[in-house]
Order: sequence, then C-alpha cells, then structure tokens
Amino acid sequence: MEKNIVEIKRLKENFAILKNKSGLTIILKPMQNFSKSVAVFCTRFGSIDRKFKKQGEKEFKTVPDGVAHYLEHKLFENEDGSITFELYAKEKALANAGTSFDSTYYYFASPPETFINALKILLDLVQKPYFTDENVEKERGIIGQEISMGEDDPFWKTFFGCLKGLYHNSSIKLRIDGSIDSIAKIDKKVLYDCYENFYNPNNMALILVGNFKEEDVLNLLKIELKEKEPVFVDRFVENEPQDIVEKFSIMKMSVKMPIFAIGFKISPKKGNEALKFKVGFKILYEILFGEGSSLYDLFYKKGLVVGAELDWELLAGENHFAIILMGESENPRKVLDEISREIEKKKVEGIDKNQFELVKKIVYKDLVEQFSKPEKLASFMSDCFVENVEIADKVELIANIKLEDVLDCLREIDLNRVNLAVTEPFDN
Amino acid sequence: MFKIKKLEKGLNYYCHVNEKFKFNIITLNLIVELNEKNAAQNAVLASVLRQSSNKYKTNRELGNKLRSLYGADFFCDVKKAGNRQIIVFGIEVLDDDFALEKEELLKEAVNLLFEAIFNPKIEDEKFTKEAVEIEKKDLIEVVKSAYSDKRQHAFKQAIKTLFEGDVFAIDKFSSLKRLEEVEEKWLYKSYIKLLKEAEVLISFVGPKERFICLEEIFKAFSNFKKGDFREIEKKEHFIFKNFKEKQEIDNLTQAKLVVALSKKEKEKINIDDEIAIEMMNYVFGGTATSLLFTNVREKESLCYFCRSIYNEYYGVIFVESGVEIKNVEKAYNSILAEFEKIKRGEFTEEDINKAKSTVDGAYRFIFDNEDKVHTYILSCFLTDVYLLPEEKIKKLQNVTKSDIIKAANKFTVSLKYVLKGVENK
Repeated sequence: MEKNIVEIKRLKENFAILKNKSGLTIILKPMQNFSKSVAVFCTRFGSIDRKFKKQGEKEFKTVPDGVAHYLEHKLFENEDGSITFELYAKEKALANAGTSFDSTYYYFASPPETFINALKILLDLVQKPYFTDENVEKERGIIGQEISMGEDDPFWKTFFGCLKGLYHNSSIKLRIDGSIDSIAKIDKKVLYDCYENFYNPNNMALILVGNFKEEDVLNLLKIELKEKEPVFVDRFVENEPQDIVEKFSIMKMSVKMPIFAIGFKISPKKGNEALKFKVGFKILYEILFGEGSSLYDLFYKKGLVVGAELDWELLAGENHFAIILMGESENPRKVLDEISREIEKKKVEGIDKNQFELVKKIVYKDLVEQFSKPEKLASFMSDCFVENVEIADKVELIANIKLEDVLDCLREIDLNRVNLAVTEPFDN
Repeated sequence: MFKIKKLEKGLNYYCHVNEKFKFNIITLNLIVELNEKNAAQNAVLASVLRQSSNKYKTNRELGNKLRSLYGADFFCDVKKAGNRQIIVFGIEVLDDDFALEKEELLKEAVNLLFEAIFNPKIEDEKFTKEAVEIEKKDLIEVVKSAYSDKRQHAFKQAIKTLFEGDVFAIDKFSSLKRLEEVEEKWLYKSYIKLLKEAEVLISFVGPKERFICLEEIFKAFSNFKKGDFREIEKKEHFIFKNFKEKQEIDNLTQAKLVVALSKKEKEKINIDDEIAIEMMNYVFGGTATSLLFTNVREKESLCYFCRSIYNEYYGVIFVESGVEIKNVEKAYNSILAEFEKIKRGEFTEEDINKAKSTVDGAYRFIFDNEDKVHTYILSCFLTDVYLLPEEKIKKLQNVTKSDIIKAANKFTVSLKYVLKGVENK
C-alpha cells in the first residue's frame, strides 16, 4: 500500500494516508490519550445519485428514490443470520450509520482492546452484502415508519419545501429516504446493482482515529480488505436553470409557531472555488447573523426570530449550490426583508476589516476543535473525502482566508434568487 | 468513588483535568426546588442574566467580546430533575495554549461569566422592563415551538398525564400562563433568592487545573450563602396508583405512543437496586440489542424507533415509539409482552451480556468529552451517588439475571398515551 504522512504544521498535527491496490483511501490518525477509537467507512453514494451508468455503458439507468438509504439499512444483514448490532455489542462498540445527499457512512466507536475485532465487523458489514427478498421486504415497514416520522417533522418539511422552491430539476430537492411509493419499488436486484457501482473501493474511504496501534490495523487490513477491479460511474446531472421555481412556498402543518427556511440559490462551483465559498460563507454568516451582528441585535430586540439565532446549511454539488437559513418567527416575511436589506447594505458598505479579523478567530477555533476529539476528526476527514478535497489543503485554505474571499461570497448572493418557505399553523 | 469538594454549605466544586482536552468548560449549576411560580421566574431571570450585564450592556458588546475570545460559547440552560429545577450557566473556551497572540482566554471567559451573574444590569434593584419583556416573549415562543416536535410533545403530554397534580408534572419552564405573569418588579427578588437559596455546583473541565481563576466566583457565591441555604429534600419515586390512558388527536401521519411503567410499592432507594433497574432497562429497551429493538422493530417491523428510558428521578420507565395509526394496539401489546418476558425471566444470559458490553463502552467514553463530563458529574451530584464511570461499569457487570427479574417485577404499566391523526388520513 502506498503511504504518505501528511503534516499540518500550523496545528502541529500529522496523520497517514494510504491507498490500496483497489483504490481505497485509508486514513490513520492515532490519538493515544483517548479511551476510544473511531472508525468510519464511507462511500460517495447518496440520495442524489438516482440516475447513473458504469463508464462504457450506453444507457443511464434510474433507480427508485431513497435507494442509498435503503441500502444503508440492509448492509446490516449477515448471511449467517447474525445481527450486526449484537456483534458490535460483544466488542463494547457503539455503532451507527447515516445517509446524506451525497454520501453514506458506517461508524463505530470502541475501547482500544476491542478495536481490531470491531473493525473486522465493520469491514464485513460493508464488504459482504447479503440481500434476500425476505430481508429486503422486512425493512420496508421500518423505513416506511422513518419516512412517516419525517412527514410529521415540520422543520424537515420546511427545509425540503425551500429546496423545491429553488430547484426545478436537481435531485437535491428530494427527500433522502425517498417516499412510501418509491421504496415500494426497491428490491434486492436494485440494491445489489447500486452496491456494485458505488461500493467500489475507489469510491470509498476508511478513516480510523483514536487509541489504536497502526501495525495491528494494517495487519488486519492486509487480510480483510477485498481486492476489486475499479469501477467508474458516470452520474447523470440534471440540467438546472439559473432561476428559481417560486419566491414563496407556504405549507400548513400542526405547529404553533411558524417555521421558515430562506434559501439562496448560488451558481454551482467546483473544487477550490467551492471550498473557498464554503469557508468564506462561514465567516460571512458570523458577520451577518452571529451574536454581535446588527441583525442578531434586531432579531433579539424585536423578538423577530425565536432565540435570535438562525440555523444554516450549505449544500454543494454538480448542479446545485444553496445556502439555507432556518428559524422560527411570527413574521418570516419581515425576517426576509431585514436580511435582504442587510445584505444590500453590506454589498454597498463592505465589511469592516476589524470585524473580519475578529470573526476569523472563530474559524481558527473551529479548526482546532476538529482535531480535538476522535469522532470530530473522523467526521471532518470523511467530509473532506466526500467533497474530494485534501485535508491539508482545506486546513490551509481556512487559515488563509481573506476579506476579499468573504466579499466575493457576499457579491454572489443574488436577492432575485431567493425562496422563502414557511410552515404555518392550520388556523393562520 | 470520587468526591465533590464542599467549599462551604451549599457551595460545591468539582474539577476534572486531562491534558488531552483543548477546551475549558466551566459550568455553574444552581439547583432549586421546582414549583410553578418560581420555575417561570427563574427561567426568565436566567435568560435576562445571559443576555447582558453592567459590563456588557448590549447584546452587541457581549457578542463582540465572545468573538474576541475565539467564539467562546456562553450558554444558559434550564433543566429539570424530579422535583428540582437546575439553572445552568456555562462557558466553553479554547485553552490559552492555543491562543494565537498569547491572550488569557480562560481568565477573560471566567470574568464574563462572573459579570453576567454577579454584576447584572439593574436600576434601583430592578431589571429593566425591556430586557424582561424580551426574554419573556422569547421563552413563551420557545415553549410554543416545542409543540412542533411531535415526539417531544407526546413525551411532555405523557408526563403531564401520568403525574397530574404532582410536582413531577411541572415543566422546567413552568407554563405559558406563569411565564406571561412574570414581571420585572419581582425579578430582582427572585435573583437574590436564587443566589441565596440555590445549592451550587461549580464544575471545571480542561487540560490544566486553574482553580485560581475561579476564586472570584467562589467568593461571590460565598457572600450569598450566609445562613439562608437549605438543602432540598429529594422527592420519593412515583408510586403506581391507577392505570391512566389518554389519546389526543393531532394532524399526524404517524402515531406517537408513550408507555410508562411505574413502581408498585414504595421502597427505600438504594444504589444496588437502582443499578439493577438501570441494567434491566438496557436489556428491555435501552440498547440496539434490547428486546424492544430486536423484536418490536426488527422482527415485527412495526416502527423505526422503540426505546425505553429509565428516569432515575421519577423512578419511572418510559417507552416511546412511532407507529402506523392502525398498529398502535399491536405495538402497545408487543411492548407489554416484551416487558412480561423480562418479568418471567424469558431472556438469556447472552441478552444480559450484550447489554453489559454496550454500556461498558458507553460509560468509558464519557471522560473523553468535556461536555459529557459535566453532564455526568451533575447527575452524580443530583442522585448523590459518586461513582466514577469505571466503578459504575463494575456494578452494572455484577447485576445477575435474578436481579433483573426482581427489578422488573417492581414495575407495572401505569400509562398508555397516544398522540395520533385520524386513521383514514
């Protein structure tokens, strides 16, 4: 296996990146002072991967919505009938898995003395799929209830309401776990097909952080990692127009306080440009909305936003790039007006350099925080893999962010491409 | 066993240092008796204190100070443990060793905490009407917004129904009505009362012992603890009186089911019995290898989540699940059937070992996280049981099958609460 030591001098940290013959990325970062070790096995396969073809094939095929999530559930089945959670439990390991728009990950944390055994379980779980008509059918009820739970969640519904208001065609507007109707079409053949295409080592990373011996891990990997011919997949990218679908999206649900999502549709970006925007927006968010900003002060004094704070998320992909701000307010339209006014004002007046320098310290603190605990670091590293960026490059970019980069983010926000989604009480 | 240092009557200090940490977290936990009127006033008061002080008069000043401390997280929280309300103030700040310009971050952060609590913005022994009204409105909205989280809402309604007429039924923020009644003229009195009467636990977690930086806070609390402090008597566990059943209709796709299991008889609480109940709960529904997870979710495919929690303050086991409306009865019966299995001893040594093994890991990881240490220490303080995680693991490992059966047989079903939509939706 090829091995490279990556040094991050500014944080006095280093870790090893290895690549095996099949193209699997392996990251090893011992942190011996901790009582646990964490392992994440992730693949770049998420809910937006609905139409694809193997390189060389002629036709794209479409799979039912929610298949990446269904596959995540079903990989926990074993041919010998053993139950993965029980196997983990025997090794004192706490395990979980999750699916997002663009990735699926499998995770466990265990004490040092059982780490190698637990790692073997993780490798089996991800490398040995076992789907039968019966076990696929059994999961439909469970996932159906997970979908229903989401249907009753007004925050989730508002979030997707906003994405639907922004995007005409992009798959980003669809729920990660699909719908009752779409999961009804999933069978073992679909699952095996997706597995073969997306669970190929060259599309995956194994990240190990915590209290373990590198030698023990490498010995196990030598035996347990399956060699596979690389598979390259072309993903179908829907053509997405520049404009938005609608400015306002209103839903009614059983809530007492209206919930809103404000979405800004930004032109899609790639590579370094995308990364720079993500880091720049983090600073911009603090300057515009953080405690200490004039908007926070206004939201607080006027009681315009519950808790005066907004949650935010940035979604980036081939045909989408969106910032979503969420909160609760009696008057979401007024919130949008105030935000728009402040953005316009900042576009004209610019950003105070001192404020920028002050807020930049928060970004530095966040970086130290990523390297402070095994689970945080493993998650940071797997995000870098999914985003297709080098960890060291990301750290440097964060450390070297300039005021001009933040101003670029501000200029990119087009107030004509904004959706306000609101979930209101029925009686409103 | 570990010790919490008693600085004086009503004032306690705990410190956990480990060089692996890169952040310091200091929490000030003020523990008072829960009652409807005071709970609302304390909740508003805590928010008012969090938002401004004499030194940082406006939100912007405070925000900029926090930014200069590399985005230190200054938090305020209201919790409930049985018949007690806990007001938590805390700050999480990057350790000085990581400061880029050798700033004294910890000292500054502690000072900010001190100013918020001991130097509030008051005029003529009154908090300003404006500050109180803002926080009142915000808390009322927070309470209203909790209704949007249907799982949480169902759980709250279940607690209200089960403990109707009892102090356990009071919400940590009291009620909308009580919050609306809070007036600035009474709040200063509440403030003095809180500092005088609350039992205080100060806890510090970070890479180095820096006791000295907290001295100002110790002294300030000490000035208020001159004879007025009285310990709160912990309320006994809830005892089953009669079975309650309640169903409420909401516009929902999925029904939320909450089942409560209560103790049948009053008994003196002792640590070994409580450990046996905790272990029994893990086997029943507290882990991903439990009977509820394995049978109700995995075998019957009835739900996505079905888990049980033992509340050590109420002495009650709650089971919560989300199921299709037509399957409510089936899920309810399955949950009870699984509990009956535990009572009859129809589970294996392997079931126990799996649960023991899982909780072994979970307890061992607590001291890897600064914030989890705080939560753990506070719960030890509130239950008056000072076991280190490894000691707790040892005790849990010693629980036998017959201990589990005995523990389960102390409980009976006391509540079935359902929040659901209309069936043909």
